[in-house]
Amino acid sequence: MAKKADSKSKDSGDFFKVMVHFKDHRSAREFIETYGFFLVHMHRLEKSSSEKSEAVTLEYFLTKAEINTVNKLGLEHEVQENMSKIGRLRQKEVGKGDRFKGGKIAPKSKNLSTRDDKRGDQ
Amino acid sequence: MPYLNVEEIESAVIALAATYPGTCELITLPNLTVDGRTTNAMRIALGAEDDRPAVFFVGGQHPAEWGSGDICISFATDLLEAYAANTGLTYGSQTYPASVVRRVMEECQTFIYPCVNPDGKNLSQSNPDVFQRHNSNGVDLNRNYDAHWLDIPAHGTAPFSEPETQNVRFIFDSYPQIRWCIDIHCYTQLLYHNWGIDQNQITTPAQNFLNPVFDGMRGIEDDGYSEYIRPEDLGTQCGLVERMQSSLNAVRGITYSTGQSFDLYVTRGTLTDYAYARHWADPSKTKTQGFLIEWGTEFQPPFAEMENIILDISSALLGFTDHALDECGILDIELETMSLEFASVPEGQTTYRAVTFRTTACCSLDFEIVDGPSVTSGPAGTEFLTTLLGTSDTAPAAPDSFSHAHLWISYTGTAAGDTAEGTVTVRCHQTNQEWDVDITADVIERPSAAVMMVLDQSGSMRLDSGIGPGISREDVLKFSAPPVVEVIEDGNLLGILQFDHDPHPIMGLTEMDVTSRGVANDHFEDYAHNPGARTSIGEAVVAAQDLLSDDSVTQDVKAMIVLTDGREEHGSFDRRFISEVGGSINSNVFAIGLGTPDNLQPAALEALCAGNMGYMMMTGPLDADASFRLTKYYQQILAGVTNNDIIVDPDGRIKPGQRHEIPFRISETDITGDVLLLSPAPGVFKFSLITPSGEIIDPGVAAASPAIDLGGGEQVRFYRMQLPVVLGGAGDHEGVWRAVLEIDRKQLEKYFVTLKQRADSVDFKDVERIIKEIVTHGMRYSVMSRTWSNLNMSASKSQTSFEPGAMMTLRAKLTEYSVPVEDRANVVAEMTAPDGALSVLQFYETHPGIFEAETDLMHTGVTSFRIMAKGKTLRGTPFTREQTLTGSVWHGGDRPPPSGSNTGTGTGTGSGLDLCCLINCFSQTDSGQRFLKKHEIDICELQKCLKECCG
Repeated sequence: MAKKADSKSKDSGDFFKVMVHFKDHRSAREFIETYGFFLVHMHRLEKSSSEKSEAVTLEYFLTKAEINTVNKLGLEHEVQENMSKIGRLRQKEVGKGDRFKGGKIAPKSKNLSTRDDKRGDQ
Repeated sequence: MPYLNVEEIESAVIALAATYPGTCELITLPNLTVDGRTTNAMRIALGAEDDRPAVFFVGGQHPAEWGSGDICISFATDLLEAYAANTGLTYGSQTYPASVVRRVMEECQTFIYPCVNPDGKNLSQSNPDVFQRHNSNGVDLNRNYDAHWLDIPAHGTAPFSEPETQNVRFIFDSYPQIRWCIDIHCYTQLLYHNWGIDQNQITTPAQNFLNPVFDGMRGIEDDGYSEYIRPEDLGTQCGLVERMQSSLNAVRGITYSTGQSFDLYVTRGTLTDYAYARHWADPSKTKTQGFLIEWGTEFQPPFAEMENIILDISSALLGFTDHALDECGILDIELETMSLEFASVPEGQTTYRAVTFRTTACCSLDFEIVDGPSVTSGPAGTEFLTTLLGTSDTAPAAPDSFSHAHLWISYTGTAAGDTAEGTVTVRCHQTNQEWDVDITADVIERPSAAVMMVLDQSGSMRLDSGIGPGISREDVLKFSAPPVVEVIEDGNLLGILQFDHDPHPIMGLTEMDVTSRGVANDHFEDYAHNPGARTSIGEAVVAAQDLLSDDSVTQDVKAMIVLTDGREEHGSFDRRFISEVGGSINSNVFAIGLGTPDNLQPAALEALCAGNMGYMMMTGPLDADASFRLTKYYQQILAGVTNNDIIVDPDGRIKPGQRHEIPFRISETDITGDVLLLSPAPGVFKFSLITPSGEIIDPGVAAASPAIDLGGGEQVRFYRMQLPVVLGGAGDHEGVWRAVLEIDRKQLEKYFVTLKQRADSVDFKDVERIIKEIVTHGMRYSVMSRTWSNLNMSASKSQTSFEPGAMMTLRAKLTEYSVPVEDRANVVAEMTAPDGALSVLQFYETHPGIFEAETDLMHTGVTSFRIMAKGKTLRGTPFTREQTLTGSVWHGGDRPPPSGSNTGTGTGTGSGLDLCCLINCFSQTDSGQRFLKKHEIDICELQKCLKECCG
């Protein structure tokens, strides 16, 4: 079920960007498929022919409870910024009401070309 | 203009369908969301639904990714309004003409489902739990599709357990025209295609997600399992992803990464894979290529930035759709270099070879070295190394032809006779194919040479050369010989011997380096003729042979280059003639005759050269237009002696403000490349090279590159390069190179000042004339490009007689890796008769790789033959080669050469009487002077003639 905000502290339900490090892909995959956490990206270490590495870092958005899970698993990780704070700021930029009046007013394009009918560089 | 809320998205879809009834069809999805919301999609196309191919854009599966819905609504609005107005669309710097909009609207059907998960999005946009990622059942919808679904709670109770994913499936099932599906997400600026399950591969169909044998093995990088994708599908997908990338980049210069979804991380049950997997699981269903966009760099950017992102992604979607209609599903990879052969690498020389792939594909293909290069056998110190270019390369998309990718390996020759083996493994990132390439190498000694420069210092060398006022033969020698010293490679030996009626060793055979070059040039500077001295070429060549025969001289090639301006004439000295010593000479003999054949009577010297693996060249009468002739003869002989071939050798003049580009071809057979600029003042030139790929080599680049040397002296400047020249990209080797010449005005002014400073009162007018000539006609130059190569031309000549009317046979032998160049070349000679008349002589291939031509030498004097070969190497690369030979005839040319029993007289009469000596002696007696005065003969004029004719 969807996670609910934790009432114990102000930011207990907030999501933090967390970089979780794994020694190889297999352990990373096991973690991904065991915990349905909010995975954003996987970072691979740069390879070279002389120095190969299987290590990967998973970029997650995790709640404090989820971070505790990572802690208990003994996984190396870094907790970075509180993403929910940024998200709440952005909520002020969400439209209010219905600009299209239930389908009575169509959106207008701002990208119609006024240039000649010539194929641009593609 | 803020983000759209979920109510606005649905209202916008309804409004668009209502506003554009002929081009926008409302599709209300059959399932209410978990929270009971109705969602809508739209079909955008001209007219009713039919079998036109369709593309399907999906947004809003993940609630926090607010902007995906805004992208969908904006793009739908753009298409509909532009089509209605018959206009194009402009996204930043990228404009699509109305024709593209019409094509998309009329030839394609576009399905857009802007907000699959309005429940989650509404929660995210209005509650503190802004980053929840599920629907109201706590299920990540983009893990709920039936494609390698994983049974964990966050992925639902079963594939398609959620009403929202059932709605997406409804669209697929209802509209089998859908052939491309793009799932729009954020963030990380990525453009991906199938698969997300595992790495792609195109060679093992059995490894696929339906095969239970491999259950449990999927999702691990670089293990034994990779997911099969048909090559043509991979080509299609890679190509379209690249098209999105370029269309997006054109908006404001942002470059999204491309790849397969697995590059992001392993995923199961995603829409992207479901779209493609449907056809695999049930071949009766349409094959739909799956794609994924991850826009932006954060989930909810400020809306001002989101508006820019909308432009980026809209351009990507339109570019994608436009080009998806152009079927392209080609992917073919061929390893051209089954093995890397470092054949005959000279000791200490570093050579590059490339593992080369030839590709035909709709997309770029990336290759990387994943193992090695390693040495499997070889002496200590053997190394196969990757180069500064890195361990990977990309073959650009080329659906209609082919492209190449090169991964360069270097090898440095250890000791002569060494051999080594190794291996390297290369992988194609897109197809996961791997190739093991064997490496072999062997090392040889760089052929080296010992060269004696044998220089005439008889009295006649003071005479006027004909090149210009005040320029004597001695002067010509002084500016023609030093470039030999500058250009000869380090490690070769060079010696100097001057001769008149006696040989005078000036500099013993000395290994060339910076110091010894300076010593040799000092000797040239000190050179002076010996007034009144006679000419004994026989004694000179014996002395040079003695020096070359010394046990300490172990070079592969031993050669002497004899420069003389007169015939053999010993006066009262008892010296040996060429005809008497020829049998004792076993070095290669080359000769340059400074003058005309009736003056030089070179039959004996010609014979000596021909019998000793050399040839003789004659300058003929020199004039201003032939100022480089002696220099070029020297350079040509030097090139042959040091195993170099001349590619081209043109002359020219250039004035300030002009730019001359002299093209020359390098082929893959060439190991080194030298480009020589010969000029009286090379410092006044801006001298650079342009490689076939457009890289510029100038003095700064040469200084920074260990594989390029810039050398030279007062008369020559040259670039010496190991091939390929690696400055970037694939490295430059075969192709058309260009030598670029311009005049540096400041340096030219300095040169003029230097000339004036050198001028004394006598020749100041000459200096003024030289400067005026340069200003009027330009600076003279000659550019010679030469190469140490596996493709060689050697030219030779023979003539039936030295009398006018003789038949001259010219022969050019072309080999590549010692194999005749058969049916692959054309050879001609530009023939310049003694009177200056030009004609072209065509050669015929008489035997494989042997080209011959014949002509009569009718006119007394020197006829020159600029022999030029053009052809193709075994690999089809064009090549050129050049060599100049001369032939000469004169009246009396077949008379016996002077010998001990037939002392030369200077008249060629063979009388045994030394007329020079007799007249000289008589003219200095009292009675002789009275005789001359009585007959009004100027004694000074007579002395001048005697010196000219007798030395």
